[in-house]
Amino acid sequence: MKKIKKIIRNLLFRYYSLSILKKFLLAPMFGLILVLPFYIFVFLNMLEMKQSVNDVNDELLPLQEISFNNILLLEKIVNEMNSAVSAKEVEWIAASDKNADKIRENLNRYIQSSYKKEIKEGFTAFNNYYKTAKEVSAKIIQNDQCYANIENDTKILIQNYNEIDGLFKSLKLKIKNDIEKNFNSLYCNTNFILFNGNFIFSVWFFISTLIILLVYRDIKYKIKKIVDDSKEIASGDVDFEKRLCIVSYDELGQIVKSINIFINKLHKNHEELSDAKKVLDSLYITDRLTNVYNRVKIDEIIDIELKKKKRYDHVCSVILIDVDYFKLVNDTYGHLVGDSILKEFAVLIKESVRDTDFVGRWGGEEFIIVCPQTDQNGALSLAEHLRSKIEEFYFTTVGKKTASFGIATCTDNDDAQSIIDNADKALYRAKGGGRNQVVFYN
Amino acid sequence: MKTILLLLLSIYLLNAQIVVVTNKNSQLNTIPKEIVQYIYLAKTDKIEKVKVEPILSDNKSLHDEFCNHILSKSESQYNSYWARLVFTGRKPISKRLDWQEIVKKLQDVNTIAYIDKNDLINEWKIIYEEN
Repeated sequence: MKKIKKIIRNLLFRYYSLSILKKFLLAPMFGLILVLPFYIFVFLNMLEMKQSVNDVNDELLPLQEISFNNILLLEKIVNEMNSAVSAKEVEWIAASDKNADKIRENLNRYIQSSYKKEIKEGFTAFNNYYKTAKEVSAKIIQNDQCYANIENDTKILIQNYNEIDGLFKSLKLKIKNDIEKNFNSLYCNTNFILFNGNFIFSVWFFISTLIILLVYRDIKYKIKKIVDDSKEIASGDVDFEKRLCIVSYDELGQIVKSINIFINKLHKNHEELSDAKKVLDSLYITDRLTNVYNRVKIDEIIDIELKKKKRYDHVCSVILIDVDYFKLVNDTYGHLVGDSILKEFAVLIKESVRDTDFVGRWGGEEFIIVCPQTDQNGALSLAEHLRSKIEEFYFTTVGKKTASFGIATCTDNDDAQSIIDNADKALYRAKGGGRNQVVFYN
Repeated sequence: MKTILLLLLSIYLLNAQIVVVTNKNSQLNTIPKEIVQYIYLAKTDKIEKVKVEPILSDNKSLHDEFCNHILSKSESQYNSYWARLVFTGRKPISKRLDWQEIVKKLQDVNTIAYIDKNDLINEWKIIYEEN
């Protein structure tokens, strides 16, 4: 049972591996398997039939002819003997010698045929008969049909005649029967071939149709599955996790495989593109030196916050920060040190603000913080906190540094430009007021 | 003169009356001429369902007479007839018997023979006589 299952699984696997054309070719192939032995059988049968026809042509027909001939010749001999006796002419007896020779010749010619036994028997019987006939005829003529032993002699002659006559006739009959038998066997063979040929053709036709139907259904089912799968994949959002199911290993399987490979490639490309987009996006809104937002992003954020102000009446504040005496650092220690100071500055601000605040670089040594939902006081305290942190911080190379803070809180009339202007004015005042301080302006 | 006498003798002899006889105890009575012909020409071997054996005489003149008058055949015709029977494998030619043998044979009930009426003996009866 297990073995059979294994064999069936193996066969199914082989079937799935075949190409569609080959699958359809299965039907005629099965037919071939069925028909081939039959053709061999028919071929052998034809050989046999040919042999029997040859037999009839080569042996039986001439044999039949000579057996007819022999009977005629025997009749002739009988007539000649009879007329010799009737006419009382001893010399006439010898006239039948040539006919007797013909009979012997006829018999001799086929002494090697399949009727060897009969022909040999006939040969002996004929010789026997002919000898007796000659002797008895001569005696009858000489004694004018009246001598002591005549009854016995004629009896023997009659016996011999009947024997040879019977033999010749039975040979003829036998040959006739054999010929009939041969033709009958030809007829039977032909019938057999025709009948079985029809039968095998029917079976072949049935099996072919069945196989084609099965293969057709199978392929139809597979195509339907592929179509359904692809529809499912095509529908809804892009989902690169979905794949087509491999239904077989033929051309359909190849198509499915190719589509799957294509989906794989798309998936990979998509991921790469997504990553690249993320990088690009961050590059677009980030200041490359300090890793905080650049002006593009900050402008956007301010716009959004102003809209929120209008929609929800959420107050927001903007803090502008300027590093005090930064030009001096650049002049004294060079631009590289300046850059590192800016970096440290950005990190310090980022660490010190709340999570909801947005930190950006406004240009040069100026930074900006957008504080959503933060009013003047909140912004002031945050700025004050930052200011003290910076004051305490020890920067590399340059040591202690301070910064000035300008704060503006948005009102209903403000736009992006005015709020920045306000903050800038505040910063200006803080600078003017001696730096390292927080100033609010509205 | 001698030849005339011989001729007369032969005429007398030819005119010898031939009869067909059988044993006295035979159940055969008179039979027609055709039956005699049939028997002697081997066309049948039965009279009234009794198998009979015809006997030939070796008396040549008697035999010829029998052939001529009763079988209505010349001697050569008779011979040819019988040769034909032999060669076509039907009937052997019977032996011709002398007087003693005929007498002996006729002791058997179912035998018939043709004889000169003058030679008739007591144990026999005539079953056919030519008028």
